[in-house]
Amino acid sequence: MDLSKFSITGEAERANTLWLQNERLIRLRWMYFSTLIFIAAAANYIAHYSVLGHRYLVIGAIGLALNGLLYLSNKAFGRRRRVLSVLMVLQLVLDLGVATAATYLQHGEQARTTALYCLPIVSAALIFEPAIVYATAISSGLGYVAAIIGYMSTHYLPFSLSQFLVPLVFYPTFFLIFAQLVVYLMRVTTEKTRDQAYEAFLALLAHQLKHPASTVNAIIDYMEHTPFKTVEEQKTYITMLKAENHNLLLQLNNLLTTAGDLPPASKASTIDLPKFLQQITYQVAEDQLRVEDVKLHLHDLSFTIMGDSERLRTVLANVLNNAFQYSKAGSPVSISLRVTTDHAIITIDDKGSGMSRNAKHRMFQKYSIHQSTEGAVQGLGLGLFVSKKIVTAYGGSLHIVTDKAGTKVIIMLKRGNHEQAHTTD
Amino acid sequence: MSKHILLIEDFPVIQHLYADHLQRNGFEVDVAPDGKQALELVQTKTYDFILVDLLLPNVNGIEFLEQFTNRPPTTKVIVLSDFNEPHTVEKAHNLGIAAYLIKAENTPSELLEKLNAMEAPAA
Repeated sequence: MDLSKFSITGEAERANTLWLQNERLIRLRWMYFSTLIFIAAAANYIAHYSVLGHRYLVIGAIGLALNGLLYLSNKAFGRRRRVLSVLMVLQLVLDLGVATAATYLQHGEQARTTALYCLPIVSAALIFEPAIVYATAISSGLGYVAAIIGYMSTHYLPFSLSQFLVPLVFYPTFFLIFAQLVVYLMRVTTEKTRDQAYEAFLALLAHQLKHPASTVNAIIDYMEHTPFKTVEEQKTYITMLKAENHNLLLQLNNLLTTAGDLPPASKASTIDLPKFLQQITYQVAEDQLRVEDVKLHLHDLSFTIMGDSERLRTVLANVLNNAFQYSKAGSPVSISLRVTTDHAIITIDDKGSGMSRNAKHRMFQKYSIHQSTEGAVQGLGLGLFVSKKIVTAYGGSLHIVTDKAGTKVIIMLKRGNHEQAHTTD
Repeated sequence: MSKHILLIEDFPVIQHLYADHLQRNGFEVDVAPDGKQALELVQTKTYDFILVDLLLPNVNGIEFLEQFTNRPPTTKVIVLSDFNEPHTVEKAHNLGIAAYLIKAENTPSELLEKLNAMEAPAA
């Protein structure tokens, strides 16, 4: 279930989208240059127009070299939006240049390569700005006219307006009409995609928030209609009610933390981290009916840190929930804690089936739900996004190592000046 | 003669609540945690009722309905889900379900009443 399309709001997401578009466009150009230019060159060699074939090869080689530079620049400057926009415009210039050079080689108005101008016009639509699409269409028209006039002047051919009127009017007009069509399709596609993603998100939001409420309903109904023999039996269902309440609160917390910047911590307090970790671990394990699968390694550590316990609870609950949800009941979930000079390091290790390559790529994005093969997945795909946001805001870091043997989450919390640490072993 | 029910539900708490309540009220209940295991079960046994959630791992509820083509005429398939987005409800109806029930409005006891009210032929 990919709802990442819905979230095109943050700077990071926008840069990421642009980066991916650049990469796709560059990949497409490898194919386009290799096939069009080199096949044209080969055809000309076969037809014994060896000089023309040679020129096509030169254009193709220059185009590929420039595309290589664009590829490397995209890799090197990745994620910086302004640079990415410049790279995208440079690609348009390159495509226009190649189309104009090919038109020139094809003797101007007789050119059979006019369709090459369509590529930069379509590519311009990827920048999401209709103005750029129109600008590219006008540049294509000018490039085409320049190719004709250039060819006539360099070959000292007489210029007759009646001979060139049709191509000079037809092609630039065609490019503008084509641009209009592209802009129309672009608007339709963007709105449709946004609407579909928005509806999908709302449906999921309604479902995931309704789920704990309807489960609570079912538990209460069950308790009303069941004659319990012991108090212990009754307590099991109270634990279930608590679990649903925790789940609902966690999801609301995630939604609130996702919206906007993280406000400064309102209440920093002293947290006994080993004790706190133990308490949250067992609470989540109990909610997930997996207490027996917990392998807690606290190494007899005893120390405190200063921090916002509510936010730390959100981080740990999200990561632990994932560990239980994405692994089979009966398989161990190991939680360990250790300290270095600068950090308190919490490692949560499950033996689930890990993440797919696609899920790995999107794991820290909003609304990215990775479907589990192990069982029910709750939530809105915000857990890791929110956890990373909180941990990073406090100067720490969150890393994930995942493969087919399971997933390991490493949370590094920065040790503040106010903490007191000592080991008792 | 007790009626046979297959409950396709991935969430353990819901599995337990509905299965236990139905069992205590005379139904014989099998539980499948996903559509894939349910598809295997329906090949070996004929059920009077199949209660299927939609958001399931491996094979989801809609895929289960699509793939469970050789349904015995006596089997009533009922969707039991929190999901009530109109397109999904319509899709499920087009796949030949007997009813679409929302979990929030169908607690174990309410569901039991509805199942009893439905005339299920003997297996």
